[in-house]
Amino acid sequence: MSDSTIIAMKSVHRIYRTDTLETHALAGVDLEIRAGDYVSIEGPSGCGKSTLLSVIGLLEDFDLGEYRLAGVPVGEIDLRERARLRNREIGFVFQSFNLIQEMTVLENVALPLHYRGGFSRKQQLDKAASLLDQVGLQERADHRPNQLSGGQQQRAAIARALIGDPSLILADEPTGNLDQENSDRIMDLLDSLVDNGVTLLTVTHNPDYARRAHRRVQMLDGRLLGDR
Amino acid sequence: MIQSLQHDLVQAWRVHRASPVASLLIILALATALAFLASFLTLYDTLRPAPPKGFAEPDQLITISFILDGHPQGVSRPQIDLVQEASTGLESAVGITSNLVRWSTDGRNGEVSSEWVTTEYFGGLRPRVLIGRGLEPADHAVDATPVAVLSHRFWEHQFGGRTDVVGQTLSLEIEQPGPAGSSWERVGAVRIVGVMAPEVEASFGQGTAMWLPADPLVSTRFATMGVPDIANRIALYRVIGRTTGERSLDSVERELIAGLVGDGADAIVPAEGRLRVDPGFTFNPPARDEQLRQLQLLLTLTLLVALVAAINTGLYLLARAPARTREMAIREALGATKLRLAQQLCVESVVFLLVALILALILAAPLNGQLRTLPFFQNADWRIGTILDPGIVGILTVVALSMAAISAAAPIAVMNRSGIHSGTRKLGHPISGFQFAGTTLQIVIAGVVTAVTLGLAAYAWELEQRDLGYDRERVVVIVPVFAQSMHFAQNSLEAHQSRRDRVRVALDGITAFEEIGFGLPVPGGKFRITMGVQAWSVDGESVDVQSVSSDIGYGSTLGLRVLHGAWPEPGDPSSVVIERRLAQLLFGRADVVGETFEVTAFPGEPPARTVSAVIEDVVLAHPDDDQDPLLFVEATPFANLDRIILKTSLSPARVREAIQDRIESGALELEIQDVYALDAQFLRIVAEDRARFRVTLVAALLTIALAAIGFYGTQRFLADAHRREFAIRASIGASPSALFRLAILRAVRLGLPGLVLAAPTAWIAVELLEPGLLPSDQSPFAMVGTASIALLVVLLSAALAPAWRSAHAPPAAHLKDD
Ligand SMILES: Nc1ncnc2c1ncn2[C@@H]1O[C@H](COP(=O)(O)OP(=O)(O)OP(=O)(O)O)[C@@H](O)[C@H]1O
Ligand SMILES: [Mg+2]
Repeated sequence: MSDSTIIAMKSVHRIYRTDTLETHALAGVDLEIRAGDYVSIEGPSGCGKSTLLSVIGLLEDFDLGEYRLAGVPVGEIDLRERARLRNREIGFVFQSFNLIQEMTVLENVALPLHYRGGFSRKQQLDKAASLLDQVGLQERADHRPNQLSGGQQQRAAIARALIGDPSLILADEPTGNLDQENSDRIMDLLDSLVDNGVTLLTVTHNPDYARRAHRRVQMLDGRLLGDR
Repeated sequence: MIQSLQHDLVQAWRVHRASPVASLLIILALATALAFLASFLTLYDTLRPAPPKGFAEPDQLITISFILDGHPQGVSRPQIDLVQEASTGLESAVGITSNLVRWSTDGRNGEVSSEWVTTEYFGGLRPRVLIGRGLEPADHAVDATPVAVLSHRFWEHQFGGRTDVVGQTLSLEIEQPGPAGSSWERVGAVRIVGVMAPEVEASFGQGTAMWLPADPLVSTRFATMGVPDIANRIALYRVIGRTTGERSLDSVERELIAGLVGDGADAIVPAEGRLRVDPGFTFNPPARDEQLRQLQLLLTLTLLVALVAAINTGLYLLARAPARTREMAIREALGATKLRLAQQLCVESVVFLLVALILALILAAPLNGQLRTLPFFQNADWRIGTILDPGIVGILTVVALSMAAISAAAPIAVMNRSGIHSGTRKLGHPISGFQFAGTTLQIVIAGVVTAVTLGLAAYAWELEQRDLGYDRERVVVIVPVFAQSMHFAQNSLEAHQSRRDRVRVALDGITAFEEIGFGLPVPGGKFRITMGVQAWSVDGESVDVQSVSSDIGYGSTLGLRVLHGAWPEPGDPSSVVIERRLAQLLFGRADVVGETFEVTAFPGEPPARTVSAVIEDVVLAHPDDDQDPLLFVEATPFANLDRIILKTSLSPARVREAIQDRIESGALELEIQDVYALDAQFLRIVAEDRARFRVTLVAALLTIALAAIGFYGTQRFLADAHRREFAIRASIGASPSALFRLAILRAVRLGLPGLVLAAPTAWIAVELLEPGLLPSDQSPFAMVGTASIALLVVLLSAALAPAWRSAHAPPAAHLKDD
């Protein structure tokens, strides 16, 4: 594990238990990702891709194994520290955008800074505006998410993921709800992030997009099959 | 139709079964509210003026009451005829007096209450007689053969309902007061002439075994008193009657007042008294009015609780709405119409209410019995009534259906907004109008009831703290009956002194009795203040005072505080002790020892009195009742009824034992009628105030609990509805504490309008109740403020668990597409 390792997982397990069923969504995942990498994860539906991203992004606990994020042993930190890491180190892009409907696009984008603290309201909104500018949504700042197209919503979500200058972007099927043209645009946007030194981890079913990554990881039944 | 209803019922059962504890709680709350409502409605129905049953043209029947100092007074036999003559709107006036009688026949016997009625009762009021006949004018002659009409119940119990009872005789005894106490006197063989119809009840009170002609019996009863013409002078009767039905009660009342109140020759009550005419038969109309007022308040309180419970049911049904929305959307997709879905929801809430209603009717009967024992209903003149009265069941059903409508309205409204068409992308439902209005209303009601409860609590507490001018700790009062005490010859001052001395000597050896006093009235005694009033004049002005028979021990045992002078030595009837306020009234200052004034004296008493001591004011009865100033004399003409007052650590039961010992050893010659501790007696005086507080406390706790449960349910609903939003916030780095704060902030925002509205509403309620129920020196500010803070704390507590859960939910699960 070198200094530039941002994700280091050893034999990580995630087991979902329901009354009738035990699902080994992650069945011993070993994964190491270096800062600045662009990794895509592929695999059949239900093999555990989303679960892996959730665990990596600290949205979800794992049951067994060891996981260090930027050197921090994730299993040993409390909820508050996790929230702090999510806020500073990680940006999420979801398939279903997950913007808050009651807020304007600008407010949505600014929200991570609100939780980080230390920014005035004006600073938060100024920075959000400049990010909207970057993703080409400056005219839509005062709209509500449901007044935007899917592609526009996803660009807003990317702006929100970027506002805290995270070192890691996690994108779970970011184009899953979009048409070809919009999808291309989103992927171009994500690609450009890597050029700026961000580590990008994507899940995609589209081989063309997977091919853009520097490294392609195959997943099956909760395990990584190794790079392709 | 039937089939669809059946389907809905099955569905409703499944829904309620899914969360049995919550469903049970909701049903219990609804049932409690409805049971109280049923009980109070029944009490109201059996107390309100109503045409007596079993009489011809019952709407014309009335009670005519003469009221002095708030209490109805008896009238004498000739005065009944004056009443009859005083209004042309009056068809007949009847005098009634109730008395215990002893009967016996064929080896059976018993003591029962009987109604003694004057001539016009049967002819004028026309009750239905089942068999035989009623009393006829000839039966009322003083020398007539004694006759009786039996009540239906007595006839059934004692004569097995046999029709040959008419013509049989009963042996009857009545109580006769005499110089050596009262004795039972045989009236002779009374012939049964008829049996009353079952629906005819006693004119007043709970029951009577027979109706008897008053005139001959009253003459017999007081024959031994030795007072000439006493049967015509003694004010025994209450007056009921029948109007001609041609004029309004008001005009009859006005005419009666014109003839019978004031200084006229025929006046029955003085100008400061009152005459009132009420429909139906009522023993004590002012008390009945007060009891009805209590009931109205209790009914209002119960309706508020019912409203809160109904809203709660709606909030509860709504709390499951996020989960239900999906179910409903699927049903709709399968072809159910909105109407059909609405029907489904109505059936669910109607099932709630129906179960609650049945439970309520079962609970209501025992509850009814319990509520009748509340102190402010003591001596209430209940008619026989039942909860299953069609009118009451009707009202209850209407209330229950309205409650069902209220609780069904909410989910239907929400379902309507969130059909299958609503975008799946929409995050959470904003709070619905029903939830907002319902929550606000619940909080307002809880705030009002809590503020009123706090007011009553403060009042009850303050009453107990109030300085009444005497010590009630370790004081025991004995109500004795001295042999031959009715004999007026015994009522000289010397007789009183020697009686007191004899008791003193007899009790002297009992060391546990630290001090002994004698006097009447004593604080908290049932002896009414009106008895000893004397009018006397200073500077031409006459003042009413109440004279208290009291020896030197009376003051020390009760710890009366002497401000000036000293309690007079025994044997000096012209020396008196007065209260400070009387001194102020008479002389404009407190230090008036040695001053002399005139009183309208009883025969044989000195008219001029000299002040021996001035004491701090003493409150004998309820601290907030009006009381004439007190004048303590050594003995009033009623001193033969003196109570014995002891300073002792013994319990009343032990005191009774100790005295009983002395009586049995022959050292003491008296009968003990009652023994009580003064502090316990005080609690009896303020029992109504305490009961009012307790009843509202129950209502307040219930409304607060319901409001808290409702608020909790809504917070759960919001937590569900907003969980995706919270997951998003968590995913971008909101810490659990930030999310917790957000949830609490939203809870406060939801509760705030209610709290803000509750304050002025509670204020108005407290101000409205103040004249009769709350002490005027309480600041509504304190009550309303405390209530608001208490509610805020309760609501915040109710919001804590859902907020904590929202803040700590793992976000991953809620970020997926649903
Ligand atoms: N909350 C949960 N409770 C129980 N089982 C779950 C839960 N979330 C996921 N699973 C199960 O875990 C396994 C992995 O799910 P995951 O969502 O990670 O798959 P995926 O690879 O992302 O699939 P897709 O490509 O369809 O998104 C699946 O079998 C799924 O059913
Ligand atoms: Mg997935």
